[in-house]
Amino acid sequence: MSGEPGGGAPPERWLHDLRNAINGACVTAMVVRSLIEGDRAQEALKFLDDLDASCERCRQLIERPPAR
Amino acid sequence: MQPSLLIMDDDGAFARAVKAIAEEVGYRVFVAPTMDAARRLLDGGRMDLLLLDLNLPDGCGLDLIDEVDMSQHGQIALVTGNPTIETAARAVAGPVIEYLVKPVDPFQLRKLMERIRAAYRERDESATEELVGRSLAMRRVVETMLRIAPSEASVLLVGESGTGKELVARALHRGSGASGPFVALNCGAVPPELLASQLFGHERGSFTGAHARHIGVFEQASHGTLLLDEITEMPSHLQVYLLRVLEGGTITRVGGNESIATPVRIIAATNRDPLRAIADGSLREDLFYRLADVPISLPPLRERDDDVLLLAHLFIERLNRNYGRRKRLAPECELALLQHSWPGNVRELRSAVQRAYLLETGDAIHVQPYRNPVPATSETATTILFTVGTTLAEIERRVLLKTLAHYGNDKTATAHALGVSVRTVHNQLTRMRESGDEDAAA
Repeated sequence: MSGEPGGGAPPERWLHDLRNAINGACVTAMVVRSLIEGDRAQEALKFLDDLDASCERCRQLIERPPAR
Repeated sequence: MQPSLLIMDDDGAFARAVKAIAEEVGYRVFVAPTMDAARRLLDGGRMDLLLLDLNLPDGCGLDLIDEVDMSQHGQIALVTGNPTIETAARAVAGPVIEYLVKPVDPFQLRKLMERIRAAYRERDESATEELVGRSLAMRRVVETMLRIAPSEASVLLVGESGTGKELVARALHRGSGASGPFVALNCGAVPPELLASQLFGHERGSFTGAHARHIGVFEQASHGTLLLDEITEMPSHLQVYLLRVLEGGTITRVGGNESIATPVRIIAATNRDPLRAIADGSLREDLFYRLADVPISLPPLRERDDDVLLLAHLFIERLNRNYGRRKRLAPECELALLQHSWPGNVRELRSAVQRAYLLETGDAIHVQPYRNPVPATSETATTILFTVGTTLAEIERRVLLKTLAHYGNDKTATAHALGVSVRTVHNQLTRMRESGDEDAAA
């Protein structure tokens, strides 16, 4: 489950959200690569939106680490 | 046939990406963002691989494994962004093959999908192997199958128990190129009062105990193939309704009003002579003509010349592959195999080979048929007859199947009646299915 990233979230929650965001990015990147290699650039663009969103989630989480 | 994959994850981006990978590998993919959605999908048909997230908005993915009858489904892999010792321990204790921690290695994930896909294909192909035969009777069956598989003709399979009716039905489905799944229902194993619901589904609240909508086998097999085994056990009033469904191509769920299109190829099967069944009123003549565009008679093993030896060698080869051994059939037992009448047909032979394979310590396998075949006479829905000499394994098997049928396939009620745990019932059914027991697959 994903919620508002970082910003005072408990460390376990923050780590869970970060794992999810990186996870989405890793798997989506593989799909994008496969689609581009298969000459299916239009479909790859749709997944690039997902990849962008996952990276943005990572950025926000890193910017707002959990309270210690 | 394509294997099916259920992705239960509320992370939409991850689910979309995994779906794309899985479709490339060759899966039919279903995505559930909640436990509730997953329950409905699991209720609607078999999933060969389940990829389950642990943290869902409406619960923990591990609980789903306890709730749903997983013996009806394939392999389970857990994916979690919150790994804990507790969930890992529960996963290890349950039927889970992988415990993946996010971020997962996408190549590892793809390899897992390919591995399950390969195992699925191997199982599918090895089942078809049993249809080979040098006998004229079996070659005719295979020729007919090849000719009619791509057509939309209905097929009526007639043959004694154990002759491979379900194998033929699966092979016909595979050869049809249909995009939907293969679904089988044993009409004789479901109590008559529940059969309509199993066939056509029911709406929530349509009768006592209908706590949720149920999707029947007609809808489950949409764009695929539906095998209706033991068709003569279907009550007459349902045969009338079935005929109407076959003519109209639509069903209505029990307690519902909506007509639902069900493009399904029907294969019916029976171990009785259909003409006699018509004569004694257990099969309606009009339904027979609708079901039997092409009737196929499966020969009993005793009429298949030396196919018995061919099959015995095949089963030993398969066991050798599984156990990494190089055992062989002892030539001195061949005559006994050829002379035996094999009342249980290929199923009985498979069981005899497996028994000898496991018990013999040397490399030469002496396959012995049962001396006292189990009679199947004078039984009722609530009694079972055994003769002295019946193995405990066979007694257990028949008691389990009959009790399950009596309780409408309710594993909990069956376990309670037999004084064992639900897990024991599931495990026994899994073992039976893995050993090729067609009755346990229905």
